[in-house]
Amino acid sequence: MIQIAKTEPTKRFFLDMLVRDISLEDAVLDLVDNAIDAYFRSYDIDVKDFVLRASPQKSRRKAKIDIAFSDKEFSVTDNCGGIKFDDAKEVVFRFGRVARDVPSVLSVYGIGLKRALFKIGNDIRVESQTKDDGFLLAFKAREWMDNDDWGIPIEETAGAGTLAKSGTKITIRQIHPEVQTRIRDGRVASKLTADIATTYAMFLDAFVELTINGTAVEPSELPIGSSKFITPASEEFSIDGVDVKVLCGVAERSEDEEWVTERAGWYVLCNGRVVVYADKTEMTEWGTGLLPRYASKYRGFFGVAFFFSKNPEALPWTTTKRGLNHESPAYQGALLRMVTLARPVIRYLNDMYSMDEVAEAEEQREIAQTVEKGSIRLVLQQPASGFVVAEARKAAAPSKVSVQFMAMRQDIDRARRCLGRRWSASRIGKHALAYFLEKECP
Amino acid sequence: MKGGSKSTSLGRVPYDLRMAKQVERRMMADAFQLLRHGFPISEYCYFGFGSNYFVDFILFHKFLGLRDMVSVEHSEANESRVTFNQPFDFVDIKIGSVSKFLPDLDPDKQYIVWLDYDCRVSSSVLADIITCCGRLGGGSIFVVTVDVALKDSEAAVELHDAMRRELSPYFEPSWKPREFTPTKFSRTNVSILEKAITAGLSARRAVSYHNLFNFRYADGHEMITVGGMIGGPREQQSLASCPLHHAPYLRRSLSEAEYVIQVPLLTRKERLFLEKQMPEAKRSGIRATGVPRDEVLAYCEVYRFLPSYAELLL
Repeated sequence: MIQIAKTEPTKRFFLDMLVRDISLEDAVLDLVDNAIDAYFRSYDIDVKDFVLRASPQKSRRKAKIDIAFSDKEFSVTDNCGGIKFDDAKEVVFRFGRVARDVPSVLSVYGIGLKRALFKIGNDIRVESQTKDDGFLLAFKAREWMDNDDWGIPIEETAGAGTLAKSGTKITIRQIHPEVQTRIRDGRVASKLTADIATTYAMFLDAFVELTINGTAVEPSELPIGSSKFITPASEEFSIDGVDVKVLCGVAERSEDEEWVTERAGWYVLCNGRVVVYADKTEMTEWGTGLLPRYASKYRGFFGVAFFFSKNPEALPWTTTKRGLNHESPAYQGALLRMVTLARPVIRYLNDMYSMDEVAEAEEQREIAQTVEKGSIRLVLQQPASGFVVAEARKAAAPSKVSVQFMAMRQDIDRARRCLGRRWSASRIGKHALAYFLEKECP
Repeated sequence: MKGGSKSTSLGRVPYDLRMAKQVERRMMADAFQLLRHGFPISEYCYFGFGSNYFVDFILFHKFLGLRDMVSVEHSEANESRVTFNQPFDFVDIKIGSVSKFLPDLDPDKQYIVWLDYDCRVSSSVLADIITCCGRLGGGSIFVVTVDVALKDSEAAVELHDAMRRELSPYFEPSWKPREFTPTKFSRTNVSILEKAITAGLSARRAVSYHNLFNFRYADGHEMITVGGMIGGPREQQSLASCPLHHAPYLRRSLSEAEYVIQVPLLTRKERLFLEKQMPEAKRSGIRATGVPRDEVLAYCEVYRFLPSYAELLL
């Protein structure tokens, strides 16, 4: 006899389990995503166009997002246009996506906002106003859990009247003790600042102003290097409705004119949001045979892949947006293109640190010395190209090769008896070559 | 380019005199001729390693009319020599590692790409294959040649370990040292090349790989060549319309045994005598005084593709 096994989710699964997969910082980033999403929606902005082609448009109102927190209260306030009452009532607070959906850019799986709220605290209040209407939703997570009903009371409120005044405010009180501990530890603000600076690098420079406890966050721009001798490789293509743009070249050098391992590697962005930062793992094919295992000689490597889609589910991010879904068809398809563009760069870096052909290595190093901080937005405007390192310098001077070898001390001493006591070993070596060339190579 | 070898050609057989290699080139040209029934082969771009001789370039231009050609030369030291030997004005010579130029392959164009290495399969060879196959547009032909000769001193156990380290993800975990013994090594190499081709195509939806070539031959050194067409249903249909059954040297599947190019050494007189009886006479009926039977049969297979060399007193 067939009976039915129960599969309904429990509220506890959402409240206590799912939150373990995400860090406090990433939960806050989910709230920021929510605000940026509202901004794209309300101002009808095409994200691909904006990230790839736009120079910041001065006429457009900037999104303003303020994050404030203490161990008593956590809040995110934005002027991003708000969420419509009907969307909030029917879609936004559902767990998982539903057939009727609100167009979005950064919200993917219908889990981020709720998980973030539950992660941070118990007393949750979301108020939002669009131009035309608004809502207030306030509840206590624990009470909701103990209740059999899945719904949360929501109150329709008046609209803000203008788009400029519309926005959302999320306030969380009764912060969970473990989150309080993190906040009291005093490092959350700086970690959050760093995470936001990298994650929203392509947004913060152009149209998002974000503050954390009143301090503005500056973008940590993608570290592409620029040199008049080097042209980065770039390519644009589409896979199953996902538009991809790949750029690959050398990284910018730090203030003491060195490439740094921390910033080297692949960057992957989904709809403009950085998902993977300076990756040097198998996820981006390092050490799989297609690219070599990462070694410090590759610290000049910089590659970035932008993925765009109007259907964010087609993008290769995981639910925490901190990792890549390796099985995503779009990512699988792009990966080989990324590798193809990367290999000439790897070859260039290999040559630079090559052991046997020192002349070439020196020339490459000279070119490396010309690398300065580049602008990703400028590079994005350039047409598709392969990776080119100018060969202009080659013709300039006869190239030199360094010759080194070990000799027996007694042989050098013998040569000194003939040539002079003060002759250095290196001078004797040079002399020997000159002598050979004169006598044997007319 | 000719692999990564830095040694000079002194003491080697000149490229254009390698009999089996030349038979291979001409069989490929013959196959491309047959493919013309379904594909605009003469409009294709040929991407290969011309080295100093450009034999394949000359053949494909003169036989098939290709006039869009790219030759990659690995060695910068050889640049002036290669440029001097450039056979036609339209051959675009690129100096540097082939990986540097693979991003230039235009996915919207049709190519014949022949990565004709003279080295063994290595991780960079596999990376070239994979990135090539990830990129070539439908109707393009991809061919790769590698050296499968074993050195006398090489023990199968060590070779097995070395190749596992070198090729790791493309190395079949079930392979034992016996797959690296002289009788099995070339077959193992075919599997490795096949894995790389499959890996390159794995993320592509609309296209698959249709094998055409699987040659093994030796002009002193044992080499294998694997190649075929990358294409979707439309190309598959066009492929079916080509009279490929006329070409017994083709291998439509890599699970079949390879085609071994054997070049019998016959005198001019013997060759003329045998050729006069071809192709109508049944093979079994062909005779030439004193020539062993297996050499006669081998000759029947390759005579259409075998070059004739003679000394010219210039």
